[in-house]
Amino acid sequence: MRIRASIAAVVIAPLAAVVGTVVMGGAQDKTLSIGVLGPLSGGAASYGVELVRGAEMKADEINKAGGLKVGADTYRIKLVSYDHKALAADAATAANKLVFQDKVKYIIGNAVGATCNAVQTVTEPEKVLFSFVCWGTNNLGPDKPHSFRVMLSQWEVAEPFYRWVKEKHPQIKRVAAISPNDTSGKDTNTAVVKALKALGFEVAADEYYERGTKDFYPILTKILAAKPDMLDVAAAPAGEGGLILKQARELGFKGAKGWTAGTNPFTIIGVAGKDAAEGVWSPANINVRSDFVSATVRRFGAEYEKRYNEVPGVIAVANYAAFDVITKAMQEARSLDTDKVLAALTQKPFETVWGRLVIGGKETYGIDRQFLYPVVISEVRDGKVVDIAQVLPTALKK
Amino acid sequence: MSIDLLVQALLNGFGLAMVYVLVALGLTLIFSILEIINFAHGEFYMLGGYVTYYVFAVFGVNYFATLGFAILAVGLAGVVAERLIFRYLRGKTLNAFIVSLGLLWVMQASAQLSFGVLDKPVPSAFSGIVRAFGLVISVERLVVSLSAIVLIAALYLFLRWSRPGRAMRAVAQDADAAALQGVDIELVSALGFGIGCALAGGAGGLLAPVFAVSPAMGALPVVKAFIIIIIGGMGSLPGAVVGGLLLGSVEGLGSLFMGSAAVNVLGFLVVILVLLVRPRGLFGGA
Amino acid sequence: MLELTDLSVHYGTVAAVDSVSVTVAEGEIVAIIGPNGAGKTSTLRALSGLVRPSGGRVMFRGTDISRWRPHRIVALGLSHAPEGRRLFPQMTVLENLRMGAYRRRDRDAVARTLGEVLERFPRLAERRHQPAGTLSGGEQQMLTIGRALMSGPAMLILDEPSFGLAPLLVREIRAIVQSINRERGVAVLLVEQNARMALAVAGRAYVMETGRIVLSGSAAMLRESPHVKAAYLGG
Repeated sequence: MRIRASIAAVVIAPLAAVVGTVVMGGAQDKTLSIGVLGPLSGGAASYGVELVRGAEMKADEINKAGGLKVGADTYRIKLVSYDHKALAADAATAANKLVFQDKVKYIIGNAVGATCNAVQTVTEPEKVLFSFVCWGTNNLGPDKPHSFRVMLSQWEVAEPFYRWVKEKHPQIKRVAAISPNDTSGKDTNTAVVKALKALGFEVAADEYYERGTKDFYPILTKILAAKPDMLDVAAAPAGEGGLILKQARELGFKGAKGWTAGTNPFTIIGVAGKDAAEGVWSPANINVRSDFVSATVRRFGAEYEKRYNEVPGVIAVANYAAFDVITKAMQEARSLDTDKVLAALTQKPFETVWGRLVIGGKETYGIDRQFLYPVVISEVRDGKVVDIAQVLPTALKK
Repeated sequence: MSIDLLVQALLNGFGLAMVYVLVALGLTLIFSILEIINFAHGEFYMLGGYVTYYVFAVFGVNYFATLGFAILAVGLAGVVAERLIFRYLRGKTLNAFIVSLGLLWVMQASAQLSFGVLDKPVPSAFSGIVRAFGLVISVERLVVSLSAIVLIAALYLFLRWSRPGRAMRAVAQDADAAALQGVDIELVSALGFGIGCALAGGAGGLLAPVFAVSPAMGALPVVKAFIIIIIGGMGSLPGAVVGGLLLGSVEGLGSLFMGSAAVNVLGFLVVILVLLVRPRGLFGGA
Repeated sequence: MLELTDLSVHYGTVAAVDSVSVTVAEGEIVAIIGPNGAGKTSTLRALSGLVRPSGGRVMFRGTDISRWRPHRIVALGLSHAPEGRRLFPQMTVLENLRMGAYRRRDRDAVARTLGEVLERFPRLAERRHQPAGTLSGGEQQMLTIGRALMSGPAMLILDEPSFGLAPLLVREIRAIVQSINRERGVAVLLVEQNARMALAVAGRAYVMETGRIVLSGSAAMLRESPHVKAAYLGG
């Protein structure tokens, strides 16, 4: 008896302590834990780092202003982030930890396509609201009602981008697209080709290369033989896209250049060289210092730079906006219940750093779960990235 | 399909073939002297790339001086690797396989830690393109190709006529017999490994401005080098040159008719065909 | 001139050579005979530095060379024509001969030796530009001996020079060995399974069985030994 009693004491004492703190905490301020996932190490680390920083910026803003008022309660926001190294298996483990151990109901932020699919196997059955910047058509759908994409993908970007090309550069008739030979490459080329056909361009080439290719002479010889007016290195990452542009120039290509899926044109200039990168258009980029972005974005950019000593890329801005939109929806719904927040999210437009933001995409994905906002097209001029136009995704115009 | 296009495709294939031949020759030289396959060979190529990046792109030294320095520096690194590791593995093919695979990981990881994971662009040393008869080739690739040919010729002359070159050929044919003629096997082993690595380093230096450098850059040239060696025959210098030209032309022409995934398979197809007809490769001796 | 004292060679834990003592004096021809696997070749490999002895001592011209590597031993004047010829098959006859003089820097002296060797082996002179791999067995054996002479040795080690050769060629090799010894005063240590040939050419001989010297003495005496007669001379 005595032994059993002492065991009970050992177990109960810490338990009581834990319960006590929770109760005491509740008396003052409630805590809302929000998960952030992403590759924080390895080759894609820059994506994850931007996701976390974008989230931190918004969370700190809210906490400094006294917390998030949802209905009668006020919550302090606490971020819980895990590194999945861009590996699907690690992503599933991290999602399990967030949902079942940290009891998180919101995961705002994740990147790299395959890891998104892995996380969704955990979040969808648990009705955890999950937002990400992963590309790929299969991350959104009616079977995944709790999933949102908070950054424009090739499906939203290709059409307005090429509409702009058609209006401003009518001499461009034939366009060649080249992407890596995998799902994200296929997705991007398909989106580009669809936009090209809808707008009356000729598709000069729709080509794929193996990731890791260095010598693009063979494939470029074939592409250039089709005499394209414009070459789109669609979903190529900066390293490979840069080599393609450099080698295309060496093979005598003098036409226009695009990078539909390019998120950061600075990187491609380094690889391609100033001359070969000259004139590259990229529609998915954001330049927080340019005149084309709102004062809010410029302010965000300046603060981000002060805090992290780096210029934020499009992913940081996207996740900052996602935090903004989702917390606003919580306030609208006056609840933290994900289904109620979900309903609030899709009801009306939000004013964000992007400007006016709508959640749509039903015509592409069968469900309105894609963040839509104005696209900024930038051009490489004399080794610098200059924003030259702002266009609207089709769905946003309505 | 026009003749121009076919010739251009061939030219594309030949363009860099000689650089891969250089990598292959280093690998086959090491194999014939130490009887081991160095799977970390591509990492010495990578080392040559990074030396070029720092000396040429960062410090702005003349390109050919940089290339010479890269060859020397990587050759020296090869000698160190031989003295510390590979001399204990002479003739132990399986042990060397495992150890060199380990070295590959160590060198790649060290490169990631010290140079970063991202591609580092190296600016072109030569700009401009040459146009003739409707064909195009960049000056850069022309210079790279010619430099590789010069290095191959230098290796040939060294092996054919110099005293250490003769010693290397003797060791390659019969190490014990060479020792009994007074050849210092330890010295030849270190020198041979060093020269083999120097060739890889030179190739890395040549391709650095063409492709940019990264810690994993060694994988591609080594795969090509293996194909070239198997086609041409292990240990044969003319075999490697012919193997390189054959692989280059097959890949160049093939890419006109099929996607890049299929073209990569094409190289292996040639290997299988050659092995069926001549199991020791085109120039492989008994 | 050469003195092996209690020389042992182990491969792993197996003793291939077990406390063998052999001497060769200046200008002498000495033979080691014995069956296949007796440890004869291992003894030779140990004394020319190809394997490290596990025990004992090798003295050559007053120097302890027990731990020396082969290239230094060659330079000291000990030249080893190994078992199985071991030529460089893709090199020409001339290149093979030049390899034999690898450690000699005096070009004129090398040219003189080359002239002598080609004179001694007219067949090699005829085929000087032919790859060694294309020679006949007898020619290859001559090239092996010729190559060993190219270093200008004070002592020659010949391992199974008659192996696989027709009787006529064996006699030719025998004559060559004797003339080298007589004309140039080169000491010879000859290892042979062909005991008849070895005892005909050598002044003294050792009989080696399972890693040990079991019998030794003058060639004349061994020819009369019942054991040698029964085991090696076919009764």
